[in-house]
Amino acid sequence: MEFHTDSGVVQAVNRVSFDLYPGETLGIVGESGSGKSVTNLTMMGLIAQPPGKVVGGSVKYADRELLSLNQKQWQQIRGKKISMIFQDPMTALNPFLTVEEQLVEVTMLHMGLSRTEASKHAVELLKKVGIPAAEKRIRDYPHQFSGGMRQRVMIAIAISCQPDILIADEPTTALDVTIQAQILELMKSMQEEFGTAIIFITHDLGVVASICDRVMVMYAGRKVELSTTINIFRQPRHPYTVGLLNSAPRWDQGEEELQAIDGQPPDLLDLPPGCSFNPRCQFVQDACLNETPPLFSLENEIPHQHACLRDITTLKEDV
Amino acid sequence: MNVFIFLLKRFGLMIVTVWIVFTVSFFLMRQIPGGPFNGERVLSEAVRARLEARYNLDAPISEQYFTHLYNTIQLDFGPSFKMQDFTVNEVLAQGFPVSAALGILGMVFAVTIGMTSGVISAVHRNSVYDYSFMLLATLGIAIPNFVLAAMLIVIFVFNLQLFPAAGWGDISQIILPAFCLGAPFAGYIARLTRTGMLEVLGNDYIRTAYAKGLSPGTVVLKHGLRGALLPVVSYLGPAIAGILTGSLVLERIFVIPGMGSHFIEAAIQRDYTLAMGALLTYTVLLFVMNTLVDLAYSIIDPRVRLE
Repeated sequence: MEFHTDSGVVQAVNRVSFDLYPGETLGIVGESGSGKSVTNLTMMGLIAQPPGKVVGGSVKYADRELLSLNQKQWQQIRGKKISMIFQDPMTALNPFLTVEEQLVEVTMLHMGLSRTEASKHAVELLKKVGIPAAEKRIRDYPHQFSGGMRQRVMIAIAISCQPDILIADEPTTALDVTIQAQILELMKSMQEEFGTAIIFITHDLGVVASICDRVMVMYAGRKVELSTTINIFRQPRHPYTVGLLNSAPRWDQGEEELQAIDGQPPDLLDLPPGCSFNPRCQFVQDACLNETPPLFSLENEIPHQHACLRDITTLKEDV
Repeated sequence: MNVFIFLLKRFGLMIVTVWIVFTVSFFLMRQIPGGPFNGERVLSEAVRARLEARYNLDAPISEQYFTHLYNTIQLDFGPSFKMQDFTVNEVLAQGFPVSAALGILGMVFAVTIGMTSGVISAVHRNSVYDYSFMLLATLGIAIPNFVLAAMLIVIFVFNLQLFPAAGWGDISQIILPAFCLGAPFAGYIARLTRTGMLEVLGNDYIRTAYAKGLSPGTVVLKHGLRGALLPVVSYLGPAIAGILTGSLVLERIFVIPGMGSHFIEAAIQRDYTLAMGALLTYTVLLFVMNTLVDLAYSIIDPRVRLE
């Protein structure tokens, strides 16, 4: 996935691959600009081309190649099989249309419901996501809802056709902590009810720990580590993952000061040679400066992939 | 109820504004050197005195002001100084519907052409369509309407022989002048729609709409257009008020008995009453149109509250 900008070609996402199984939750973690959102917008065919350009690769859904779909075929997938919720519920809902209108247009389109059927269905959905007095509130406009309520509406829209995949792009980042927990709870219960697979994009490791089965860590448009959540937390193999974990507060580390990762995320237009993380890495050695690390797959009981030449678990004793 | 109070407030405000406009222009007009009866032919003192007596111009200025104000409140603008045997009310009643009909058709042209090309330009940004529409829009704004009128007359009247060259009373006679009148407005509206649409299409909720699987047409027209309309609507209010009061140049070229010529000539010839009548009509129109714009805003955007 490339972006052709005025100042050059940016490879926003490069050699990122992952599988997603029915009913699971996959977390994608990384700093801003690491390509999390672009990866998923590409999966929805929502990257504007130009400036975007898919140079290669493959997105398969139920053995169907999505990247070669035409506009009409995409419309059959979006909102029906794969749907999406976004970071900021304030701006993701159309301020000019009632909540009802924004709900029914999806089910009328994909499920062929009549307006009255769709209306009924919409009220049920709003009740399901926990909106009180749904029959009345459905005629309200988005600005009449609070942030948390709006995100509930977004979820109602996203699950209205019982999609197989739900992509959640930082759905709780813009919300209060108490509301965050409620929204996560809601997403879990929706997942249990419909068996939806969820891709959860976030930079909040607490959220990852509470909701994700597996985690993929991204850095500078590349996958640097992928394994089960437990494995990533217990035995991170990439220094960047370690940095992320150390920079998040943990209940069992008491008053210890948080360790931030030094330096800035790299400029994608001007990546360092070798491993993109080498300027910020404390384990850096000569090979890291010349060689782009390949992806190492460890096929133990729990599959673990990482892209570090030095697999830091083996280094820990030396340091 | 909300709307009723809003309209009531606006009406009160309008009365005050009209009164201020009346007062300022009444004294300004009498400050300008020259009077309605200063022609090429010098009138004898006796004739002038009788004329001034007839139009109440010999009274002290304060008395004139209050008499005129009193009559105006009763919607009687008095006799026209220059168009003898006509009252201002009669002149306005004759000219205004003509200008209004022309203006409304011109606006219909402007809105349909302007918005369509604006939307197409925004959706196909930087395409051939975009560039050609925006070039046309700039031309529409830049070319003076008498030049456009002349060009259209040459093409449609003389070469194609589709329309008559001038006159008033038949549908075929209104199309060319209305098009000329609407052309610059169409240009502005096209540019405003394009800009508004581009801004709206960058919003998150447009991405949401695409993520729902809606077709590009539905996304643009259902989710995009409303937001893009707002700047156009606020431009339309004053534009319509201006267009309804007529165009001196076009009414001259196409020999149309509208308000445009009265507006200018009344001021030049110091036809105090007619100028005042035309000015107050324009003020009221402008006020009404702006109120309608605010109402339209509250209908288009549910977040807007009328105050």
